[in-house]
Amino acid sequence: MSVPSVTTLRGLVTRGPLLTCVRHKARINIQRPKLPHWEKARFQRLTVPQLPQTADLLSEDAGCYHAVERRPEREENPLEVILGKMVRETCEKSELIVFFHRNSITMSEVHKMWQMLKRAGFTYHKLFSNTIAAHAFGGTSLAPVLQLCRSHTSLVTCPEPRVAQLLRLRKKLPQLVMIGGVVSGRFMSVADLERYGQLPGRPALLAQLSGLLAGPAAATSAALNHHQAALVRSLAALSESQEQP
Amino acid sequence: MDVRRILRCSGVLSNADHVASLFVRSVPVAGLKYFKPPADYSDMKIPERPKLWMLPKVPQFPPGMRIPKSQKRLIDMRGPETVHNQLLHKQYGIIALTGGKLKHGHMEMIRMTLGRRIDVKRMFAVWRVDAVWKPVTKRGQGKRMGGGKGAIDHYVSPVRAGRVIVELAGACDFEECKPALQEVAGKLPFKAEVVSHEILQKKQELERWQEANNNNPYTYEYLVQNNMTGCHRWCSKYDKIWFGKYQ
Repeated sequence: MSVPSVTTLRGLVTRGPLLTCVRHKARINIQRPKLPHWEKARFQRLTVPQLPQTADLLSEDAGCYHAVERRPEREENPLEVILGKMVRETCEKSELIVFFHRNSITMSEVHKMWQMLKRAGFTYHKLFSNTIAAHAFGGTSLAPVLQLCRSHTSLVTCPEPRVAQLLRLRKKLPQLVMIGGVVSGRFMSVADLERYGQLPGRPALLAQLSGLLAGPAAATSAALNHHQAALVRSLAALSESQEQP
Repeated sequence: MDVRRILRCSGVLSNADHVASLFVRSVPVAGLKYFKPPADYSDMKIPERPKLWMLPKVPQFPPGMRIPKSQKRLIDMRGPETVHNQLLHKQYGIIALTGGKLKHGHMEMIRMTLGRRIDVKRMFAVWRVDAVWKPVTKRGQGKRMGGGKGAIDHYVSPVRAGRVIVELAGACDFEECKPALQEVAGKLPFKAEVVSHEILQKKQELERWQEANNNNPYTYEYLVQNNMTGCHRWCSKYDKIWFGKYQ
C-alpha cells in the first residue's frame, strides 16, 4: 500500500519522497474483531456520548423520546372493579363496618372465624388488595376509610350497630387487629368504639331520657305536696302511737 | 393512626381518588392476577406454506457454464444493512447485530427449529436472507502455496449488521414466539437478537434521540471530518463513512 508521506511535527510540515510504500493489512475479521490501536481507542473513549441524566429527562424540554422507563400505569383489573362494587353495596346496607388489620392466618382459621361471626350475625370480608378498597370507597362518603386500608385489611359488617357484641368477640379473633370503623355513618376510632360499646342499650337510654324529661315535673309536684304529705305522715304516726297501749 | 384526623377528614376530602392512589401501592401484597383479553387476529391470513421452505445447498447455474469462483469480498459483511432492515409483516423476527455469513447448515437449523416449534394453523415463517450464493474456496489441508485458486468447498450467504434473518408472524403474541426465535438466534454464527416491530421502532427512536441529545461536543464524526490529531493517518476509508460505528 502506498501513502503520501507528508507529516506534521510540532507544526512543522516535513516532506519526504512523494510516495512511500507501507505494509497495511486490510483484512479484518468481522466476527472476532481485534482490539483497537491506542490512537483509535483514545478516539472511542473521547467520543462516548454524554446523555442527559434521568432527572433531566422528566423535564418538558427533554424531547419526545420516552427513553425514561416510566413505570407503566397499572391497568384496571375488571375483577377488582366488580369486587369493589360488591363491597360498596354491602357497606351501604350496613350500619356497622369495622376495619381490621389482618395478620398471618391460615384458611382453616379464617373459616372458623367466618363461621363464628356469621352465627353471631356479622359478615367477614377479606379485602384482597387496597385497589379493591379504592374501587369500593373512592368517591363516596366513606372515602376517608382508605387511610385505614394501608396493609392487609379485612372488614366485618352488620346491618345493626352491635358494637358491644363485636368487642366481646374480638378476643376470639387473635389474628385480626381492630383499627377503626364506621357506625351509622360516623367514623370512629378504636377508643370511640370501645366507649360506644360501653353505652347502655337503646331501651335503657330511652328510659333514662324519659326519666330526665319527667324529672322537673316530678320534682315540682313533690315540692308542692311536701307539706301536705308531711302532715299526713305525722298524723298517721300520732294515731298509731295513740292506738298502742 | 390519628382518630381526629379521620373525623376531620370525613366529608371534607374531595379528591378521594388521589388519597387512594397515595396508599394503594404502599405495601406489596399478593393481588388478583389480571388476565388481559387476547388480541384480535381475526383478519390475519395464514399462507398456504406456513413453514420455511428448504433452500438449496448449491446455487443453480445454466448448463455448460463454468462455475465461477469469487473474491473474499468482506465488504459484503461490513457496515450496516440499509435495505432489508425492517420487518415486512410488522410482527416478530431475528435481527443480526453484527456481520457474518450463513452456511446451508445454519439455514437448515433455522428451518428445522422453527418448523418444530410453530403452530401451522396460527403462525407462519418467512425467509429474509438469500439462499447461499457466494462460493468459498479451500486449498486442501497441508497443501503448499501455488497451483492456482483452490476448489469451491461450500457456499455462504453474507449478512450485514441490522439484517433481518427470518420473520415469524400470525395470530400469536411475542411471548409465545420468543422462545423459538431465541433458540435459533443463539445458534447463529453471529450475534443476533429477537425483536418485535415495537422493539425495533423503539431502538430506532432511541438512536435518533441519542444523536439529538448528545451533550458531548466531540463526536467521532466531528473528529474524523476535521482530521483531529491527524487521524487521517490511521483512519480507514470506512471510518470516514461509518465514523467508528461499524468495523
